[in-house]
Amino acid sequence: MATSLSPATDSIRPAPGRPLPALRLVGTRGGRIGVALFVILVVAIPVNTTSTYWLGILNAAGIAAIAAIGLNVLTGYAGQLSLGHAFFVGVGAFVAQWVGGTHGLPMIVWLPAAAIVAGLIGAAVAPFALRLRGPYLMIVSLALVFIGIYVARNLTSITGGNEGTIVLARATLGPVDFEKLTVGSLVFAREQGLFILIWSLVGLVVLVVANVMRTRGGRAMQAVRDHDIAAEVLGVGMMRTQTNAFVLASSLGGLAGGLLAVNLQYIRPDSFNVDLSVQYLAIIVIGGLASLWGPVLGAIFVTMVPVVVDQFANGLPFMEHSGGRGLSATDLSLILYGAMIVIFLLVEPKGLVATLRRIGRLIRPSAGFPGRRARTTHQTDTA
Amino acid sequence: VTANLQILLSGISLGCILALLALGFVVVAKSTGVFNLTQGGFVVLGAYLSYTGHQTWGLPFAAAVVFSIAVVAALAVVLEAMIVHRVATTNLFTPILVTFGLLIIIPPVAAGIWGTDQLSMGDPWGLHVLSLGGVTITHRDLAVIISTLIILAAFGAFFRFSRLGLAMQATALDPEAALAQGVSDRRVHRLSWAIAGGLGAFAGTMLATTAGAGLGPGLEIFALLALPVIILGGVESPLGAVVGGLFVGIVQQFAVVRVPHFLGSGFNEVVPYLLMILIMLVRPEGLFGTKKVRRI
Repeated sequence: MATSLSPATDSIRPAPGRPLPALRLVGTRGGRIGVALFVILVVAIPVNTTSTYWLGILNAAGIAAIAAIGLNVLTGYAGQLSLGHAFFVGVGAFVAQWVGGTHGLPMIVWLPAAAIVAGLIGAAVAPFALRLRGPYLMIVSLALVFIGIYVARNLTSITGGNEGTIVLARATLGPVDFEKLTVGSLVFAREQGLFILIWSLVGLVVLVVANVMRTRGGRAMQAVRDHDIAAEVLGVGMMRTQTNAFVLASSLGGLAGGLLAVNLQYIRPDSFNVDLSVQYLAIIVIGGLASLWGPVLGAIFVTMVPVVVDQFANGLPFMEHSGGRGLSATDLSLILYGAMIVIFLLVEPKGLVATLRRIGRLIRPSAGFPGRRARTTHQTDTA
Repeated sequence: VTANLQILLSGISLGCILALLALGFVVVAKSTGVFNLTQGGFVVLGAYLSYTGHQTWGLPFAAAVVFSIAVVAALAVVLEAMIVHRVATTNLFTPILVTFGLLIIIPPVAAGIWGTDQLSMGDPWGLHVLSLGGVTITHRDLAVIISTLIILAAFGAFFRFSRLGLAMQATALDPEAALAQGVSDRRVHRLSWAIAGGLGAFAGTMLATTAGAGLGPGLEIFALLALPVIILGGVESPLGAVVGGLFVGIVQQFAVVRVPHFLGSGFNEVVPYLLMILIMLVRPEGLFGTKKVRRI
């Protein structure tokens, strides 16, 4: 992934009369302010929140966000629908435990290992999966989840079989242990330390994906999504482009899997089933396909659903009460996921990101982003 | 030999159900271009509605099945008219995701209404068997095979001879030309969803009568088995759906019994998917699919 941070300069030819844009991770002043704000928030939120319950939820959301950003690369930017993302997350989780737990290596080894192994498996699967398009890829990726669970159940030495395994991998970076963070006399709770780790990685991943999408390879993905044959005629290698997207997506899934393993402390093969894939798909659809912050927003939103359901479920008449018939909280969450996917696709196909933008425009109709023209004339997508 | 024949017969029975399920997908895919994942939900609803009709209200089994087919078909039409039709022509993904969203909703709703216990369909055929020279076939398997044959015959006749069936074929071939000839695409779309809903309800009911297994949560996972089937056969080929269904059913039934121990538990569950991947490596468009010529 390190190479993607420095796009090949010779492939960008500036139009005559326009200077070559400076190559840096954060291009605009607004962007730099955003990064600074994000860094402050990543430290300020856990320090000022004493509720480990809510921090735990935000941690889960952050991990889901990383996985969803990966899926968004594949589905949103490269236009390949996948139901197999849970498989790569699972690979990452078990690799993290095997490398970090069984072999006791530090996080600087097991976290990249989780991403790399998932990416390699993605690269191995990609040539088969990408011969197909549209619904075909979706079904083959579904097969991946079933086959993955079957393999994991029978690989007892690594995965612990059906019962799963306790995660012994530690989130340590040199002398810093994120699970027992201490600064001077301040002792942080486990959730507080993990929050800093997880959300820093979320920020890093967003930054990386934002920049990959500006490179030739990233633009090629979007060209292939918009019209594969036209893109190929224009000299975009379709196979290579889609393989890139597939590998990037699966390695981000693996990264999220490694974090998930540490956060949950207990993983079993059945956790990485179709329902998890569904959750990631719901996240990117609700947040906004092919948008940078969509998966993050969607992850927070979707992770909140079961929490809100838990809080209010007792007041609802059709819910299950003390073993009787009725909806369980999990079922109600599933219904809400499904309904939200349908409603968002019908009413707001561009997701929460578009909703926020619209609200922003209502508040300040003339304001745009710095360096960009205000989009007041562009009314078609708001109608 | 007898044992193998025995497995073959139950494989054919399972294959018939898969074929009907796959046919429901194919009808919608062919005439509306939508890849309809909600089919899995129709299976679940159909099975539970048959249960309600037969066990709760005491209707005869056949009447309960007809009732369930009618209700699910009506629901399918409503879903198509109110939700899916609006996005059917936008692009490839939106309709898949919308039908997927609907698929997620249905099983938990069913769990909420009927509970999560294993329910019994009440053995409509009992344990009667027919013996033919050492090979026994349960009446239930026989009923599944015969009713599948009847449905397939009716299906073929409908598409070949009836006006609506021909209209559906025309729409599948060229939607605009069919529209210009006065074929209502709305009507065709809704009819195809009704057919898919009915087929799903029937297949779901039959799945729930499988000996030993009852009616419970997870039926939609079984319905997902129709996905490798349609890939095997080709998404838009009714013949492929039938052949693919039989093929997968038979192979899976053999896998249940004959798989060596070292392959571990649950191998038979992934067999259809492995088969599908094998076929896709050789023929990405499926056994009976046609390669699409596309314009830039």
